[in-house]
Amino acid sequence: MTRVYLREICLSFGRFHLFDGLSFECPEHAYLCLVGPSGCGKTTLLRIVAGLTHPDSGDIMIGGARVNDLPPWGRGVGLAFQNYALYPHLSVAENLAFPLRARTRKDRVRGAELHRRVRDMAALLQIEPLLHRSVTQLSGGQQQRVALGRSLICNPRVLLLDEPIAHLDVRLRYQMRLELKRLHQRAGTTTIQVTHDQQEALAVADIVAVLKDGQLEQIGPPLKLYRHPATAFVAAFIGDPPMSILRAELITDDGELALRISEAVIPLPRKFIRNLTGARSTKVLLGLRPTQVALADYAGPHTVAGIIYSHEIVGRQLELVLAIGNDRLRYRTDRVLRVSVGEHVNVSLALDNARLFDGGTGRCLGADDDIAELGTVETV
Amino acid sequence: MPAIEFLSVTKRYPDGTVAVSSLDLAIEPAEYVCLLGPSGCGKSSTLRMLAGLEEVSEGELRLDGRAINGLPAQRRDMAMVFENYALYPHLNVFDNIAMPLVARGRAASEICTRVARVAEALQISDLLKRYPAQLSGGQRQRVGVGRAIVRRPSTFLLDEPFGHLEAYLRLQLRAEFRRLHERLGTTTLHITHDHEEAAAVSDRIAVIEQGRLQQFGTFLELLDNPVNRFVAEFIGSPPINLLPAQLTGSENGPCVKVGPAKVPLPMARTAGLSQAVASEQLTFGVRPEDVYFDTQDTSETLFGDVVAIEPQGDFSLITVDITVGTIRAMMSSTTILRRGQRVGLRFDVSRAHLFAADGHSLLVPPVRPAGKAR
Repeated sequence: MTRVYLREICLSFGRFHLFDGLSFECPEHAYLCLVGPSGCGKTTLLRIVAGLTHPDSGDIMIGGARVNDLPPWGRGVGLAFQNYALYPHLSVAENLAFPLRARTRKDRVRGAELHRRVRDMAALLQIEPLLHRSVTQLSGGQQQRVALGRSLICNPRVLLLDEPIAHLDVRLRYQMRLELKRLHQRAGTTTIQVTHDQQEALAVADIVAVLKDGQLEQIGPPLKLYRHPATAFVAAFIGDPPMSILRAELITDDGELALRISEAVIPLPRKFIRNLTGARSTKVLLGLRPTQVALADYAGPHTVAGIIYSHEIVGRQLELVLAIGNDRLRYRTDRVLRVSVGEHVNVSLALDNARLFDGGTGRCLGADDDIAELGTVETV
Repeated sequence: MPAIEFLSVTKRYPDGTVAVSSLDLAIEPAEYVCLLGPSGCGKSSTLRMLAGLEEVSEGELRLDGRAINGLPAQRRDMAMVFENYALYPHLNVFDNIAMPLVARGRAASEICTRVARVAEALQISDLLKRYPAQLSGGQRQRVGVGRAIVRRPSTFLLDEPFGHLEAYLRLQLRAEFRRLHERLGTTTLHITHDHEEAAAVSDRIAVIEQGRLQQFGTFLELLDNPVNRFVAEFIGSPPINLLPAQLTGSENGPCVKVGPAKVPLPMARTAGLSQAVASEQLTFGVRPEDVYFDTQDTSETLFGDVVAIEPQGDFSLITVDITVGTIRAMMSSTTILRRGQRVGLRFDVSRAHLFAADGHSLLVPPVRPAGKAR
């Protein structure tokens, strides 16, 4: 049982409260990614689990036992950081063996057993030919593998990774994130990883937790966060492209509920209406991905007027950043368009798969009805 | 006449290292060009020579047709923006932006108007009284840009301007940079190692590796018509699949043998394919978005087992183990698929690539719709 559970964690730095009663769980054998903007507390949370930072109050539970009073080396956690922190004067094999040698006399591993463990770990990470090289002769990806091996060699109950692949170039990052995922599939070690890259989190994790200002915005499977963001913040943070968020107002138009965006009035699809009981005010936020936006040939009663704010090439597509009032709306097209900044355009919005959020709290307003569509891709 | 011209420019350091090797590059007036390459490829040396911070060892550097090899940096009328902002910490935002005008002894009223206009364009008007320490990274970078544009230089030089910033800020700022460029029309040279950033902001991209220009073109040209394997690998995300291949023939013309599959090549793309490469070990390149799942069992289908499914949103990246390597494919995340499942794969050969043993591209470029995206 190596479930990790944090209960009611509080941590302050002077008058600044980072965590104010934060609780969250990483189930046994899960691969959980913590994501969020810098300063959200994700690395601090990892350090709390590792025992490198002590909370003011709250319980840290690993495998059902409270570990608050245990030192980092007594918690059964393996750690790997983005800067590898390998011993430059030691070979790959010596770096891997280090944690086994450094233990107390009673637990120390030596002789044939030590060699076997080092060889097995090198095989798992496919670095056997490198065992006798100095770590300074290795590429970034190889060093990263050695650092991972060193954190895994003591068979930790929990593996903690802080931005493990942030330093690598694009091609190697794709390769290493796949290796992390496959390693987890083979070893099954409960893993918590911190990353600033939400695409990486979606790709490797079973569970993604989004933090903002020390608070958990949402925790769940990657595609649940993508398709059903719980808050406008998650909607605008997760996905490439993320959702654009437009300020809108709920109004009644001819007895029917509608959204007013800028000057336009757009009828609200029926499925939203029964979920709007949770709305506290008429101010709402509309979340849309570029695929839910289309350029209209002319201004109509339901089109929204905008101005081309900027444009980018994204892969084989052209992305327009449109200014709708003070908000930005992103639209993508395969078509070859000649556009210029400042041009006026009209867009129609497909609200069927859009998300509505409360204008005050940012919480999603219902729309759980299509939750059954989840899990169509098997990731396990 | 090009605004900036490198004519066989070489940079050799005293220790003998050649950072830039006979570079020829012509940048048009009002063009936004990115120098793209891995760290240590020579892109920074290129920019520093243009700025006048490094001497040109050989060749000629021209600005508006005039040789500027010996012209001191301050007379080149260029403004540089660095990765680390380099703001004055004891000055507020207004004074930081005003600094280049103050240094040139401009009148107070003119300074006020120009700083206000710049601040408005960069949407930092409400931050003018703050100090750099009170700003976020994205805001500081805008102030850095503001200080560069306030004196209306003829050229902007941007050295990894988004390097320190978080992903969501980079996304926001690159739209701002493109917008600003279209409004000011200033010739811009921007250094980056990030091909997505280069694609987003620039008109054309110069890919540099080991001090040599590999290719200069629009992002789509680099994506669909890479001159060599390096460019193909460096451009595009997720990265291109590269597989060992041989050239063979069939009754329908040349084929590429990839593992057990025989992939026919379109006639239009095989012109000029010499027999000399028939015996060589070649590399077949196909982008994940050009790989399709195929339920039929034809001679051009490759079979393999799904080893990983990485959700990305609307699409998932699927990794399939085949006998000769692994292949990544993009597919809709609503498709039902299991790890371990056996699947057949086919390629869109109209967009695939074939590289010789020395890396150069062998096939005729795919046909693209006419016209520029922008």
